[in-house]
Amino acid sequence: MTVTTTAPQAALGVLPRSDGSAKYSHAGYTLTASVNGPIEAQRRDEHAYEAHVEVIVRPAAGVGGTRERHLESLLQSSLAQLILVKNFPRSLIQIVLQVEDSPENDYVNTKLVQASLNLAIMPALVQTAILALLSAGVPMRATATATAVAVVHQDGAKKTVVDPSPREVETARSVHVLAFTSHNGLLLAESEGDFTVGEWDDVYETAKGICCRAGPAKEGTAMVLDDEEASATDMRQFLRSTMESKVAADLHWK
Amino acid sequence: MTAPTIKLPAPLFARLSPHPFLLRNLTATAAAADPARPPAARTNGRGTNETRPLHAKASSLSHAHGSSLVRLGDTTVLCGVRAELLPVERIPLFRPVDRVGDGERGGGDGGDGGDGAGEGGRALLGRGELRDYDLLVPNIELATGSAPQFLPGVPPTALAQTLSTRVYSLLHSTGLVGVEDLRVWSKPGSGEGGDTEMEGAGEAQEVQEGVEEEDRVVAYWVLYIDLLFVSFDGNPFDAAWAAVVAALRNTSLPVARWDPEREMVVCSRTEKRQLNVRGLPVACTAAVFEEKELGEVGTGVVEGRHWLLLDPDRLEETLCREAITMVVDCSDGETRIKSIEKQGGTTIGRELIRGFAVIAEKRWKEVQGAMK
Amino acid sequence: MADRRRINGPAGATIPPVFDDASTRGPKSIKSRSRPANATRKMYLKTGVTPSASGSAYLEIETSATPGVSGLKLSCSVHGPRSLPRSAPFSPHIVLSTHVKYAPFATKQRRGYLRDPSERDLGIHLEAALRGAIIADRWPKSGVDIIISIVEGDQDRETSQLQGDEVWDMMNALGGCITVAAAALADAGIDCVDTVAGGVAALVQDAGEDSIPTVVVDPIPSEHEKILAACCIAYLPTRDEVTNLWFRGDLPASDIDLYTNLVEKGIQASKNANRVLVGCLAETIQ
Repeated sequence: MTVTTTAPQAALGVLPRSDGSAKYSHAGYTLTASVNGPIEAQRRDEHAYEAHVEVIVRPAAGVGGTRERHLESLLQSSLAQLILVKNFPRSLIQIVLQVEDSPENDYVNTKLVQASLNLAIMPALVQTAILALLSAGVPMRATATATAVAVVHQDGAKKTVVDPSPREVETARSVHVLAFTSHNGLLLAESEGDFTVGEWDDVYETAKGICCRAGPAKEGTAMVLDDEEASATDMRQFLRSTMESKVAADLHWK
Repeated sequence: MTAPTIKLPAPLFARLSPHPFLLRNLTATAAAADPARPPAARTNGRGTNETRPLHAKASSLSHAHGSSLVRLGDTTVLCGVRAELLPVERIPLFRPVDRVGDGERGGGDGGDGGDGAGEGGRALLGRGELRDYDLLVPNIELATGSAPQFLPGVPPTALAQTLSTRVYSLLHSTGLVGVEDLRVWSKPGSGEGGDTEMEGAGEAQEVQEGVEEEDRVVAYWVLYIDLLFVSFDGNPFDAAWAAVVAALRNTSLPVARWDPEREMVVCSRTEKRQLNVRGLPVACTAAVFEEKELGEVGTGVVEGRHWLLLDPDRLEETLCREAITMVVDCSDGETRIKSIEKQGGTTIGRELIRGFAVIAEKRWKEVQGAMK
Repeated sequence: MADRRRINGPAGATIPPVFDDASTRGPKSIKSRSRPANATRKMYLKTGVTPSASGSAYLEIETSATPGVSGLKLSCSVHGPRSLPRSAPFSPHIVLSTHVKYAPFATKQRRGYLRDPSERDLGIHLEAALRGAIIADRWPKSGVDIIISIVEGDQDRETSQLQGDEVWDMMNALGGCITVAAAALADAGIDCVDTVAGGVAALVQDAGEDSIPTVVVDPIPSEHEKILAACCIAYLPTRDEVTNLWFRGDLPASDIDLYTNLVEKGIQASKNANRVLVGCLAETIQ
């Protein structure tokens, strides 16, 4: 089990002119998100009973292509489930995600425009969007956490790699991205490669261990699923502590 | 005194309030609990786990190198594969491929299956070339008047772009097409096509053979895979993917050789080689219909009933938010999952996904029968 | 600038395969018409191919006897009449909008995704042909979209590129477009004064430069040595009216009757197409 040593980092409210914003970096990805809303919706996007959620993904270089549209549609359908869209009929909640940095693959010359789906960026996108939505104070029925897991075959043995590097993604037998709501519901499941139901089950367990650790991790009381996984990042706890420190900083004057 | 009842014909009711309409259809038969009738029927008369039969017809076009027409109920897709040559001079950052390694890998492939690690490695190397040089170019066109919501003459909608990306990703991740079929070598291949070159090549080839020091890749075939929706009635991905697979299985490329005199690649008019397509991945999609309209989800508690509608049609797709697509391949006897895409809700959990693998397996058998 | 809404191919341009002509077929140079001069090819017409559209039709013209020459395949769908977008100005009658697009794999050369001028041209001619047939003032403030995909063009796969046949191919394509659109309009239940159908006639010179040109109906460019002129006619048989006439090419000025003759033959081809059209519609009603 390889666990990337870099812990996720986040800052809230980095963009002063938007309603909410967040900067997030983890596993080599750095993203900034801004959330505006509820604002007036364009006539064609207007929905009589609920808010329209618009997600825009901008790549680190160049303009977005079909791949970005696909990522947007995945995020849009997931976030629209979390945001209480019924509270804001005829309005728009706009989430813009700017990729600032993505990990380099040393083995191949990366192209600027690529059509192929990059699953490894999904968790960072979900996390950044959720943080920015929290920062904007958009009412949600749940938060969500996501993680990427790759199954690598090496020397005849199967290995599960959390937050795989681009090289690992390339050599992996299968790559999975799973997102869970704070109620432990499976919000998003994206997998590609070659695997069996049993392998997927293992991946599910690993991902759930990272995304939905039960209860706040206090000294000694943290639920340790596995010796190896103990060192893995607890995404939910991370989300919580980020919010707590932001609130503490904002209320410092009191 | 009875309250005046408004009677609406079924199609009008469906149009005015589609959600209650579908709900009533699904619940009515369940309530009746008549053992003779199927447990639940949708508005289109199918059971929840019933798919539309898939019809595939290959080689319907003459200008394309491979083509197929796939009909899934009222969804009709036409796929044409068109091959063009990409000379290596036009590839920025081209890294030459050595034949020896390829030959070994090719041999492993010929051994039918081979061991897991070797095959994986080979598929991986091919994948790199396919991806780096963009040798597979799938595009989906929905704006052909296939459904009223797609306006003609506009750039591809988000749906069309998403579908194109999904097809593109799956083409690469499944390794359906091997790069060795798309390479054009400066010298004719040792195994296949060796004798075919002799007649056309002439003496020039033989003179050159002594001078030329080594065999190299001179060009690649680029496959333009264009999908045209003739008619759209839901479940576009399953139909599009089936059409892509059927068209690629039907594709044969002309035998190409390097003409050193003209310094270009020339193709034979008569000789053709069938493209090798590995496996038969089949996509299976279902949508989740919830009892509560635009229901509250994500709270962890299951409120209301829900139905998993297999192979949703256009009306059902507009009423469902959550959907799952699973791509499976059972051609090696064992069920291998190639892709899972689940989004838009939390109804489908671990158990449902496990169960869905069985449904997808059943679907695979149906599609395999249709593809023959 | 690459189209960022589509998956683009490799950065370097790709070239269509070039065939070695050493092993070409022997009887290539002999071009002959496989039908009598006044006979059209068989066509197959079917309505209702796109159930979600208001009306739709599919037309296939028989492949010629020469191998490798494909027949025309067209798919047409009609959406409407529907209300005009809010931004559109008031219109007292129905607004027709026609879109004709070749599929990327329809012809010898790969077609682009955006409509090129010739496709726009086809759309305009088609609109003119249909406007004369539709009773437009029955639907004020509404519009109808007629979308035609040319799935396969009427071209010889074997001939080398660029013979200047494209313009004549367009004539045949337009003839087919008019017929298939009329069928789809009827399927959509849009009132027309009559069923309009397209027909093509051409003046060809088959035996060398100095031979006497002859007039033929439904020409296939690959079957003729040289096409001097061609016309595509949209004709309403019961009213005996021509709604659109598209003429292209050179006619010898000495012979005035030649032009009338050509139009006459075009009308004859159109009547043939109309018979198929009426037969198909009658079948649908039953």
